[in-house]
Amino acid sequence: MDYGFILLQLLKGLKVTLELTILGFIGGFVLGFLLAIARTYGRGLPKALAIAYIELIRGTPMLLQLYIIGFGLPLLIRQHFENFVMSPTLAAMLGIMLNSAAYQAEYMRGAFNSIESGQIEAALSLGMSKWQIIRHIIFPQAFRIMLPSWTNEMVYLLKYSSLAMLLAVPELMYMASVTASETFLYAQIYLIVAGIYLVFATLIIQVMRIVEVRIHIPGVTMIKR
Amino acid sequence: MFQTSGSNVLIIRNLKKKFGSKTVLDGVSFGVRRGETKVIIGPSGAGKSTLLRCINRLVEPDSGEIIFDGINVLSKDVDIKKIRARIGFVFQHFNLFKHLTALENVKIGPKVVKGLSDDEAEKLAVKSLRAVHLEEDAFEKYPAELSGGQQQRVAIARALAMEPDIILFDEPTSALDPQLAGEVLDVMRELAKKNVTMLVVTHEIGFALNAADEVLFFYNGKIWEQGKPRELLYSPQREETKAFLKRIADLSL
Amino acid sequence: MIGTMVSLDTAVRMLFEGAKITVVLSILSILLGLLIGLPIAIIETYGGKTLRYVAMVYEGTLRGIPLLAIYMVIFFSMPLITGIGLPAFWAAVLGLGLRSSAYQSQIFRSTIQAVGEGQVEAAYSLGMSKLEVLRYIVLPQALRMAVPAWMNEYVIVLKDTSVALAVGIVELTRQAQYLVSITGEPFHYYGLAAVFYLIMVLPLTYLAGILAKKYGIKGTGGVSNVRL
Repeated sequence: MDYGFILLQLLKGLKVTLELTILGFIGGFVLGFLLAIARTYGRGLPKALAIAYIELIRGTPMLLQLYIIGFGLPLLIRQHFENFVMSPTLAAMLGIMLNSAAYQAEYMRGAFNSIESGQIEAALSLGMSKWQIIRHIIFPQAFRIMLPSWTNEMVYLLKYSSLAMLLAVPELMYMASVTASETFLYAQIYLIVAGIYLVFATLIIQVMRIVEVRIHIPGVTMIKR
Repeated sequence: MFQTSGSNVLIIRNLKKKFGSKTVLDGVSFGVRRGETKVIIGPSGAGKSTLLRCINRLVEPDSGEIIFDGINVLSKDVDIKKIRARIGFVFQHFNLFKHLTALENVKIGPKVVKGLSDDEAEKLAVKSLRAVHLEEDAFEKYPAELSGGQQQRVAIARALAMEPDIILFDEPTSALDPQLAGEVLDVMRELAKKNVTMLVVTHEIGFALNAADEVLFFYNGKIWEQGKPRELLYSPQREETKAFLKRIADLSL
Repeated sequence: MIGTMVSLDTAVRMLFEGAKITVVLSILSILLGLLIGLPIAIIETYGGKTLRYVAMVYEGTLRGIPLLAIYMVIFFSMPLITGIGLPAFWAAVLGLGLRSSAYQSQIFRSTIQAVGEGQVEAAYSLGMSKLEVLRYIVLPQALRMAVPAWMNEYVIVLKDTSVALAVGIVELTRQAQYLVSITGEPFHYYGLAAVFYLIMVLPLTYLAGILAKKYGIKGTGGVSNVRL
């Protein structure tokens, strides 16, 4: 029994898992930011679309969304581009980004709203422009307020990237099932994989906690017990 | 920062503002001369705050004129940011920037809006904080670590550091308990003595008596009476003024 | 195979069957989560050092592992270690229930702590025992304040029943998958399934929002928008 080989396969899967998590988070952040702006400061159609999108994503399971992107989207594109093939990994990444965007948009909206209007009034009274206010007053505070939400979101994506297994994406869970079925070491391999997820989840939480303490400002952020 | 007395810094003519069906400003007119300390008193309601907020256009009035140093504030062509930089505003709830220390709060206006270098802004900020008698060890503290009185003094310093032509005060001590309010009123009295041009909305009749050059009584959207502090407060002419002052006297007993 | 036509009526019926499983699974799981989560919350607030530590480890582990991994461990590892093998449906309930218990214990812990200490002191002063204080003073308020967040958790459980298809449960998403595989029309049937989910989820979210204003912990808005 070549445990080294098993471990290697799992590590390959881990790499894909981390890619899905990190890129999914970043993509979700960018799109989420746009949604948050449309949602908080927008009006009319953009705002309505943002709300509809967010409610749609938050009201349906991520797995369903991954299936739609993984099976529906390629079909749709193939109607126009005959030989289009989408790699499952790309589809999963897209699905994760679109999902995360909706949740991150809500976190950002919360952060924007929690900065009292009084500070914005004061900044306007000094003669600051809207851009100056966003840069010097809103952003530094929103960034700090959002850190715990980001921690949550990263751990969430780490865990739910495992759903990509059902799209045959060679991430950690998939590699676990493949090596398990080849070696019949189901019980052990799944326990090990569970442990790997736990280690990385804890790692993310601990690192973010250090960051939170470093940039803590009394009155803006709360240090957790 | 300290102007010589003379012409009008601020002229308000026939200012009107409605919120929905409620008339909040119903033709307000008065002027503030350089070096003057003008105090507005009157019953609680949205009117007085709204009046101040119209002056730097945080709120847009429906009609009327606001002339600041000869400039028509309400005109479409004016760059309101430049005007706001010359008008200081001290809020009832301080509105300090929570993520900045006291010193940084006072520095940020001169740096970001006026483009001063970090050094120049720092010198100016230290000078302003000293003018409001903030304890040196509080300079590096965040607003959440300061008392209400300290926060409001920092807010005044923040306004002073912009070297404004006039400072507007919106009930600066209403959110403070009496002891802390005292520190702030002392600072304001000093500024008044130094001939800083001030327009103050307040319930502190004592301040009006000691420091004001003129007192205005504001009620139901209009200025009903104005005059020297002793005259208006001891021998009010109008019934409404009398009624208000009587109520205040009853409360303060 | 692909290209089979399915009438809307049949599709809806099939999806409805799936939805029934989804709902049953979610209700059983959330109740299991409540059964375990509430005592854990009480232990974490009032328990001794070792008990608290164990509870924290329990909570942390279940929150740090994907649901899929929990399912795989229950399905494969558990029989090996404990000799007990569960039929798929109950494995699904167990997995989702255990995970939910970890999150529910967080909810209850925060609402229990939100009941003012002053009230607890007053209750002791009246001569009540620890158990009586818990039963008559703390829990009634803690449970009421927890309702919005708890409903939020139920919505999460409802959506995550979809993961149970990996252990063979034919819930809503699996039914949709089957329909897609025989008709080749993913948007139609996944879309229809999405509608089913929205019908189940949106009213609950809306209700939770209203209840949050009434019963939630003041200052936090009651319902957390946060996933975890």
